[in-house]
Amino acid sequence: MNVRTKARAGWRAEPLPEQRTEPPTRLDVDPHADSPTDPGRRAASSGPRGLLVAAAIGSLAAVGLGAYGRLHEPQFVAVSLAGFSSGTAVKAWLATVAFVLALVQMGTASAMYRRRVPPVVRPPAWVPVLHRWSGRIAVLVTVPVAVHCLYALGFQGGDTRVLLHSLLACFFYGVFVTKMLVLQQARGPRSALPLLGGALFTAMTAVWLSSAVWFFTTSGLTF
Amino acid sequence: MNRFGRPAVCWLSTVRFDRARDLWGETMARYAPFATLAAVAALGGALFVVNEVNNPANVPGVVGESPGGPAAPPVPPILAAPAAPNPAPAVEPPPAPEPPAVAEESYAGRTAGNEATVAIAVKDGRAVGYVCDGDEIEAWLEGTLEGDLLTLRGADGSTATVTGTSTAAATLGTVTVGGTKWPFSAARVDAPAGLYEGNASVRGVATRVGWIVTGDGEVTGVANSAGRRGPAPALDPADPYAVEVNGVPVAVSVIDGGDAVIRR
Repeated sequence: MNVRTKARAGWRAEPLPEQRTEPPTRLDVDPHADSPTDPGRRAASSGPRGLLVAAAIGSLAAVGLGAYGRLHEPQFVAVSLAGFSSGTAVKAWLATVAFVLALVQMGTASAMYRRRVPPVVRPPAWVPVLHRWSGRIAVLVTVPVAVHCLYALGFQGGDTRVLLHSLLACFFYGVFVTKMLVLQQARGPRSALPLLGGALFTAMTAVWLSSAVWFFTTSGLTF
Repeated sequence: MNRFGRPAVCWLSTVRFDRARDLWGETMARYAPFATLAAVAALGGALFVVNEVNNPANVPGVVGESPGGPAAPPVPPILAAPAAPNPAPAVEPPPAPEPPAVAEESYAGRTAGNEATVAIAVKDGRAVGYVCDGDEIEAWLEGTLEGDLLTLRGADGSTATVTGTSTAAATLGTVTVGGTKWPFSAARVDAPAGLYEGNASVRGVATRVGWIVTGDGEVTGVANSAGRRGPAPALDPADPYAVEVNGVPVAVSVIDGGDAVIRR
């Protein structure tokens, strides 16, 4: 079966007849298409077991990050990028880039899900491609920021802003791991992806507000 | 959109991506979320290794502790030896005070929420500190640096304390002033950044000023005129000895870890 056919199949208004009659197997679904679950293909959803496993692994990731940040001794130093005044400025700008990409995520995701709510609007084919790649870039952009936070500063709860920031950032990566694992599964509750995506966007926004925006308001828009 | 009712981007991507996908095979396409996860983990791990390798605390010759990060690179043997489980100190008689981790250094930084500015100076195991908010909160502290453990206390009757750990690069810890506790971080700074004290007698009133110049050149200070505190007169880090209060010149000195800052 040609990959291209499958990728397109995810965007058909109606599933192909043979796909509707056959029980959906793992190979019938293009999991990385990030597509809203096709009612015909996911009718025989296998229940939330896969989702629970993914959520458990995601929770472990979140708790693990928090525990590492809490237990290891903050080093205060970490490598920075050339051209910026400080490591904090680099982080604030990278986080801002990630937040803008998160907005793209939100826009593309809602376009992709519009086909489920009447009037059905099929998004252009580049929308899921943009969703996938903006998401990948967004999360990769956050990694240097997170490593700097964890390595140089650690998990801290000195005041509300710092505590919330630490908690939500760990939560963010936990949800990210969960969402990637859920995407990898052919079946699962239909509402899992939009819920996880919404949680990711919310956490991203809160983490950005509690760090980069705070930095820009206290230190000015410095590079 | 072109005249076939389809975006041009889409047409291009269809041609190119399908070719590429056929070459990569279905496996790559199918495990894209795993690949994304793996890429994130790999980038994170690589950055940890880079941080560990570049951390001045991990360079042999500079005293500091190697944190056992998840992606810790091979630790230099000098540091690895004492880090190994060593039951000997447990049976030893009362240990002598540890030699200070840092001989002489100045640190300046801020509390996590930028409530106050913190300066620490250490010299041969002795340490002094100054905390102020640039308005009306200030505290002078003295104490010790044993190993990398920094302990400072304010004058008798004051509840001000600073505890933390000092490495060659920074001091990190908690400061308590007036019953409020803040985490702070203070990076190592070079002159003209650091801690300054100024004294003047203004119309018979003894005035004492503390200034902290952080690494980015920002000056925060509080002036104490016989117990009444207020914002400090401006100090120019390029010319710190030219300060005046109401036309009276202020005697300014740079404070290092060996100075006495608590008046008895």
